[in-house]
Amino acid sequence: MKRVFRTGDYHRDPGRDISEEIDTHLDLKIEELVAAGLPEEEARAEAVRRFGNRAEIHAEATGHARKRERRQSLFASAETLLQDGRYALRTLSRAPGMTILTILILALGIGANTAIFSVLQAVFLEPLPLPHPEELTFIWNRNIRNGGRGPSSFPNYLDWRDQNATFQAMGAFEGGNLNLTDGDEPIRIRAAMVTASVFDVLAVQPARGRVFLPEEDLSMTRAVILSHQLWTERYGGDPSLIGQTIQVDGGPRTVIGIMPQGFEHPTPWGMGDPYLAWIPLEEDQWIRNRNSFSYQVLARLRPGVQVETAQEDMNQLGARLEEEFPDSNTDNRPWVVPLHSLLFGEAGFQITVVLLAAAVVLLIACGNVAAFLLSRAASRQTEMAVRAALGAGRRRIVRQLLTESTVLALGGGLGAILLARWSLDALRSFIPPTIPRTGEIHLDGGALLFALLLSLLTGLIFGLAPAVSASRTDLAGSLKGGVGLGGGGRRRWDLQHVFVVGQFALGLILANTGLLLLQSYASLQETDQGFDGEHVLTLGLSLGGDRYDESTERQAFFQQLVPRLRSLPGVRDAGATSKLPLMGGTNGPVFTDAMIADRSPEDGILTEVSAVEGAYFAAMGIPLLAGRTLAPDDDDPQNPGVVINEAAAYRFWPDEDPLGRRFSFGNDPPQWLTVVGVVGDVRQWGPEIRPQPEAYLRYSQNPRTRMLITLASTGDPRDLIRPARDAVLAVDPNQPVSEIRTMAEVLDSQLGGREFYTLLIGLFSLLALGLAAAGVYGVISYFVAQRTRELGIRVAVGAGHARLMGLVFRRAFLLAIAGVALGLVGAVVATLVISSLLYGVSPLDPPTLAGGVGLLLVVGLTGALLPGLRATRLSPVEALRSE
Amino acid sequence: MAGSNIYTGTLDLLILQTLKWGPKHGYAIGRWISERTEGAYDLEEGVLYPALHRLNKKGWVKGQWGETDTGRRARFYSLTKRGWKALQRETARWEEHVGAVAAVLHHSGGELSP
Repeated sequence: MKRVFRTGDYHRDPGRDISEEIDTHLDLKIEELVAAGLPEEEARAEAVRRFGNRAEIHAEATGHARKRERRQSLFASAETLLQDGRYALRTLSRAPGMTILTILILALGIGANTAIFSVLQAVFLEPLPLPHPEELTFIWNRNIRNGGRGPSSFPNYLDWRDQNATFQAMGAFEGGNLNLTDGDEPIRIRAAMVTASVFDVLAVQPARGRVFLPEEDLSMTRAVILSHQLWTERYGGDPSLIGQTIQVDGGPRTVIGIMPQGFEHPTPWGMGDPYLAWIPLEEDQWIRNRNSFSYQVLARLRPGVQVETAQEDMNQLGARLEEEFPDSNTDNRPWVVPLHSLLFGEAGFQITVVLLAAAVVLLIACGNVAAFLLSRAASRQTEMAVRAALGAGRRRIVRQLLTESTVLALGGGLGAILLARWSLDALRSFIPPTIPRTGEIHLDGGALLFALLLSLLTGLIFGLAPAVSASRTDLAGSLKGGVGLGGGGRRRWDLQHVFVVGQFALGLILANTGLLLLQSYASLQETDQGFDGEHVLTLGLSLGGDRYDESTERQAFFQQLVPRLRSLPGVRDAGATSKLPLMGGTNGPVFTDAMIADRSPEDGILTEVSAVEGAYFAAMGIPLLAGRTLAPDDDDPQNPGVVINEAAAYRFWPDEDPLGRRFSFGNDPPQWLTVVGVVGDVRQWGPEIRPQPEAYLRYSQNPRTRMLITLASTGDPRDLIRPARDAVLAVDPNQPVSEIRTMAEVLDSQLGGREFYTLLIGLFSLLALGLAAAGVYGVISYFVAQRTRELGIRVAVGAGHARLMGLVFRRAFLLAIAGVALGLVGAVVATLVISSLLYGVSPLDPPTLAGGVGLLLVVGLTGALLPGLRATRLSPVEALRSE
Repeated sequence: MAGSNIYTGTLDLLILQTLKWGPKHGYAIGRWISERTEGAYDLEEGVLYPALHRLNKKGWVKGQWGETDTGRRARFYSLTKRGWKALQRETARWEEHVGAVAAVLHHSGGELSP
């Protein structure tokens, strides 16, 4: 057998190959039959008959062959990809320095994005870990006149629950504290007083035991449910605890259930400090009062009902209640907010802004890498021309170059994952507790996929322009050996300009944003919060249980405690308050003499109320502006005295001396308080919210159970923690303290979120400026290299150093100006996005914008400095010889 | 399969067995099968080709164009590595199958009689 084998198919079309095979078969059969003695015609007919249905057979065989071919071509293209990849690795390893630098820049850009994305994912993108989280909502009571929002009254909640048509379940609760006094050490924990339906709304089952029954609502059942954390940490995870009694607020309660591990009761207040126990809401003087707005409402939408639909339903309901109960419900409407956005929306927005900043940094980095690839393409012009001459199509060359950029990008992506892993550890350590769900931040599959997609996308972004540009190589010119001055070189240079201009435009956007946020942060730091942040220590305690049922018992406790605290060494002043500055509080409508005389009764001035004891003002560092502070006889029911803040004095009696004047909380009937003093304003609702009018009463006039001890120290306030604790235990050995903080910590915790994103965006801005400087450096270096000859001639005819530097700087300056001009528009748009994050500075702040522009011009000139110096060192002789 | 009265697995096995001794073109494969089976399978000869291309698709055989002794251009099929393995596997399975059927047939006569 003589064989000249050819693998695969003979024809391009497998059908024709098979046709030929069949013809051969028939011919061989005919030969055989003829040899056996049949006449040729008969032999042919017999061969065809024995063969069977040719068309059918041909079709079936061709089908198989085609399928095989398709599979093979897939293999082939995978092989080309591998080939391209290997080639790319070889090329890149020939310039290891630049390759490593590029990969580092990309790793930095992609890594920053991946890390921030992981944070966003954990904090915001993950759904609530409860069944059908999309149905969960929170219902505020909202004043449609002034936009204020707050909890609901309990009677309103009952009407909402019974009269709505869009919710399947609704529950009310109140946050608070409980003292656990069984065992060795009394502790004070955060806890919620709930209706049984709260657990229906959340659709959560207890891990052990049961939750409350509807008939236990307001029933004074002495039952308690514990969180998994409390159960394991305080009770050692003892399964027999169910059915046992523990001491809660000085009285026995039966543990009826343990909630599952990881369950957290959602509430807009006190994020990061979850409820550790639940008791039923109890019948008290407030719960039947339609004017007592202190009950948070959780509600679960019926399946498929949109929030908007529910809002309309509740609007009608709210309007009905307004008509029915004008005293308490004028201007009040239920406001339905998806629970997810209520809990995570704000942090999600802040982190999204940070992610956008990271994306801008990555785009700028893409500009650097693209410019690098372009300049490398210049030195590879001859290679490209040879490949084109050898028959590589343009598409093939673009593909080869894109493979190179993809390999670079994937290298960057790999580095990015390492960098993100490392930086997440750092991020976790300084992310503030006010940002929810930070414990769940980790690099998971989603983040890795994000890094991979981002790498591929960046590879395409920075690779496409250089690849297309390189594939347009002018064949003849390049083969002749001219590098850089041909038509291709010119175009490349123009493209590099475009990149640098783009980098500066993006750089200005980030710089302006960063500067605005820094200014906001600085002006917030400078804002006088109204208290002494440095020397004050506060400790919380709540006087619950039978021992403190009578308000006189609570007063007696403080009357013993405060002098004891005052006499501790290192204590300058000691007092107590019902609420701390910055931490919100309680308020009510105030009516002055004049208002009662001539205005409609609804329009009181919303005023904060504090109950204070001892030398609270001195201890907190709140200055006395007029009159005197509260004295023991100010609780005289016949003639009660009150201290107000400056804001209240201004609102109540704008043009008059407030001392000796009267006002009342409520007007039915008025209960007059006489102003005995005016103190400085403190910010009550947070460092960014202006001081509200406030009234300070003596503790004996308003003896709450929950109070905060306030101590001013002569030295480090933290040194007072142990002595203060001991002083409390000396008065009542069963009284726990909690929430031990300095006022500096209270302020820091409120500024933490802002510090976090300001720091990150500031960091990204610096990174952006650095990358932009590198971009200018690259393009100006190229400019100088290209003009070596021209610059040499200038030196030869006597141009001085200043003249040469001027020439180089002018080029950099023009690029920077063009970029900055382009960036102005983007910077203005960006400030609109972040306007809600600004404090004490307007979004369109000309000095800031000018500062940003100046910064970028400096960056431009800095980038041009080295190439400029290089130009001045040119020796004319060498320069003229250079080409 | 067009006009076939033997089942696919059997035909595949026969083709693989045929190629055990070296590359053959389609016509030769057909002759070899009909000689060995002494015409027991009166199959239409064309049926071979879809089978060969199916085996090619599976990667059990590969086709190469060459010339016959008489100088005709023809596609020669040979076993691939995977084809060899398939042949061994299918042969074993076939023998097991035949053995099992034979055992049933030899036993059933007595028990089925009324």
